Amino acid sequence: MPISVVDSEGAMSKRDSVDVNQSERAVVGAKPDASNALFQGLETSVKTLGLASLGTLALVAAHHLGRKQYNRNARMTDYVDGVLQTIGYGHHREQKDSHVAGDARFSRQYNNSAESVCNKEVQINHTGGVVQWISGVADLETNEFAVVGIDSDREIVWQTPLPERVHDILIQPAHLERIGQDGAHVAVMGRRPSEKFWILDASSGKIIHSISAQDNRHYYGHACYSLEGDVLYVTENNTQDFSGIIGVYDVASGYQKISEFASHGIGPHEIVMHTDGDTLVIANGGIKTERASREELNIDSMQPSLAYLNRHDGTLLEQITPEHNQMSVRHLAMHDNGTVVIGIQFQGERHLRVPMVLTHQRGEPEFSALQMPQTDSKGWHRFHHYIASIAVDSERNLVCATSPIGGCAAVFDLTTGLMVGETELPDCAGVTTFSMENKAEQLSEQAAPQFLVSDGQGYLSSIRVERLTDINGTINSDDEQGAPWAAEVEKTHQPYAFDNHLNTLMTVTGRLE
Amino acid sequence: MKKHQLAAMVLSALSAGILIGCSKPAEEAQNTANEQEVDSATANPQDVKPLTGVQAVDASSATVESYLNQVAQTHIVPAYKDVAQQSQALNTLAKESCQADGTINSEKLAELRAQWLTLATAWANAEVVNFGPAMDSMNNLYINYYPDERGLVHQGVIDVIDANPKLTAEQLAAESAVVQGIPGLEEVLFANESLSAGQCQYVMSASAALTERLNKAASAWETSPETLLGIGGAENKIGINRWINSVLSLIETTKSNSLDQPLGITGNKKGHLPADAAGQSRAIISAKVSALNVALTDPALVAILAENNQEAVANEMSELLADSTRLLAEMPEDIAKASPEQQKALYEKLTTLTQVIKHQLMPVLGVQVGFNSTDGD
Repeated sequence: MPISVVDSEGAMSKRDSVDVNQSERAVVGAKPDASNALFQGLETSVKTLGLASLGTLALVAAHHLGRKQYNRNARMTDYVDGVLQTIGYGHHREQKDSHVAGDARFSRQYNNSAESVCNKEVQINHTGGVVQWISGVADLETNEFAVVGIDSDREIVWQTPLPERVHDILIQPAHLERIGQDGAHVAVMGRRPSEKFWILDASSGKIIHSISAQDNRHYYGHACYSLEGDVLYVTENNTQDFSGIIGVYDVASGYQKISEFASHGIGPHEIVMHTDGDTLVIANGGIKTERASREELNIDSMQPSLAYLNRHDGTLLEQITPEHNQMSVRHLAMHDNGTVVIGIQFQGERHLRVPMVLTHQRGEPEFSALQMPQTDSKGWHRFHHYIASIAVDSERNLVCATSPIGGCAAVFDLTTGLMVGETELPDCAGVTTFSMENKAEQLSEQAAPQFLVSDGQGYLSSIRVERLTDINGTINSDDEQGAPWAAEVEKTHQPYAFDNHLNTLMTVTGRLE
Repeated sequence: MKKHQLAAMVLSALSAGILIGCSKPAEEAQNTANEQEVDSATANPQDVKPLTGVQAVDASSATVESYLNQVAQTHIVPAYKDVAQQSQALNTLAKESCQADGTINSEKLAELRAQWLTLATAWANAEVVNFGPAMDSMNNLYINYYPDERGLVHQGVIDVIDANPKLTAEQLAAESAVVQGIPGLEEVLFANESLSAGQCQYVMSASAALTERLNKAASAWETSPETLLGIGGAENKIGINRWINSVLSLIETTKSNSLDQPLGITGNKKGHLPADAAGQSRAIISAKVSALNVALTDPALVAILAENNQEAVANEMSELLADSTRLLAEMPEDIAKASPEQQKALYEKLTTLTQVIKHQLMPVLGVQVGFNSTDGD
């Protein structure tokens, strides 16, 4: 390409135009020495870098087009951000800082939280109430979240604000003298997928530890303690390949992660400790969930299962799959006799009717479905394909299952396998056993409720079911198994939305600081 | 191949690998940021005025009870009666049309299609009530199996007619929800230019089975509105929670199932528009917006808001609904043919309406938005 050369007067002429290639050739011809070689080397390097850049651009563009298919928010700048993030610059650092800032804000909130953090006028029992139940709560007007301790009169004893919505609440088993601990811990799991869980003191609600997930791990909402209370097992997700993980955390060392096992499925959700003390029972929901949108990515091909693992080395002992591959095994409760009760969330076609509450015992080849009475007209559709939580009263052989979408809680008798009672409770989810030491003194065995159910409208409802009897106390049926039952519900209200899970604490005396 | 070309290839592969590998954490961070943005947008929507010192109304008051009675008597009961009557009208018309030789020509078919649309819009109007006998135990699937994400209705109806051309209403009622109700009727009436004897029989049976189902719901509402809605004393709190959450739910499901997913407004396309086979999506969505308008501009509700110095909330909801109605009127009958800008504008109006309801109306009424029922965990 000809270039123009401007003369000393600034004039430009055709004569002054030279071909750059001729010029280059002239230079090469004039100086065949080291500087010539250097020039050649530079030329080759520039060409190489140019070609490499074009090639990189083409490859990244092709990858970006692929990403766009599943992530509409994907941007070309993500690649540069990613590199900056990897080498320690950019908004990754800002995120880390914000976590610290969040913690600091949280601490301040906690220190000031003798009064309500959720801006609600909650009656808090400051005089050392006895915590009976613990639940996650939300103030939906301000979008704030907390955990509350509740006493036997269903009043709030303490509340601890947390920076995100929480899910399961685990109470450390009361063998504390063995591990040299003063009071029981409460493990509070962030809502799936979360990067945090918190350990609170059960009696005061004070935060003892705040645990962060490792790189490439998200917490999946549930955990369980070993029966000795010295180890916490947490359901986690490997964010790189979506495989389910069970994280093992040592209580004595401040909940350091000491190991992890494969959960042998995708999307592990609830985990419970088997009564044998050596076996973990895991609900592998089977659903691959995109983090940002919570969109379910593998509904057609999902493979849920119930997995039994040796808690000491993670060996898979037994794995059971439901009859329909879209019956997501999600929530569990453990009967003292070793029966696992399972709450299903069905992801298949809405018109299909599948059993939503199942049972299983080690060694059985398949699940057993609980049953609806023949006289019932609503069937399993009453739950709208969604069970939020399950609780077992081993003493009375009863199970309670909740469905916020169906707006009901139902009680099943494990002796007959039949549903024996149902109550309408809009937005209900948390359920736990009602049994409590101090209240039992006030209530006769016959009059005590079996379950406590919490809901998003702020109600704590006790449920008691019993077989109908005549004035002599005789069951009104020739067939005792088929005798009708009556359900009694008593509600109290708090100005919160109670979250998905509720747990029962054996007597712990409050000591607010 | 020259050495520098080979080197360029290697360098390209390496640098692209590094960039692609590093993009993953950035994606996650961005996703987190998006999530946070969504949350903060929900909590503090720019176009929603912040609440200052709002005191919730006393749910046990006579005013609230009067409002709930009005909701039951002027909205819910008439809506169910109307849809049951329209279903009966379709059944009567089908019987008349099929009388001669058991088939229906294109002229009669046009009349049936028009009556079907009246029925479908009546049901869209009644869908503002998302609780009670028509909704219990997923009964609504037998009335309106929508959205039919896997396209089950089309083949299901063909199969059920082929299997039994003399299908009775009782036999059909025992079949799957997929082959019943409004979508089943739409499939037969709009996928054919004339009806065979078997199809004619199906229309008579399906409309009869639907009428019976709707009559039961209408009758239950007429008999016990207090129990079904929750009216009287402490029940008022439950009743007002149910009703306002139900209104909110209609907006959210309309946004999600009837606009966002089928049109791909915020993500990939999924599902289908309501009354897709009939090409009448605008009529169905308009009926829903009309039901929302009746519910949210109810004089008794406006009076409660005025008593609490919240006339602005009533005005804002009214304006948003008027804007939505206008946007719909400007669209073609099949809103898939509307411009993306029109579709998005309607979606955004309804989004703003949900924010006004959640952050302004509900606090004034002391109503808690559904929490666990939308959790998905």
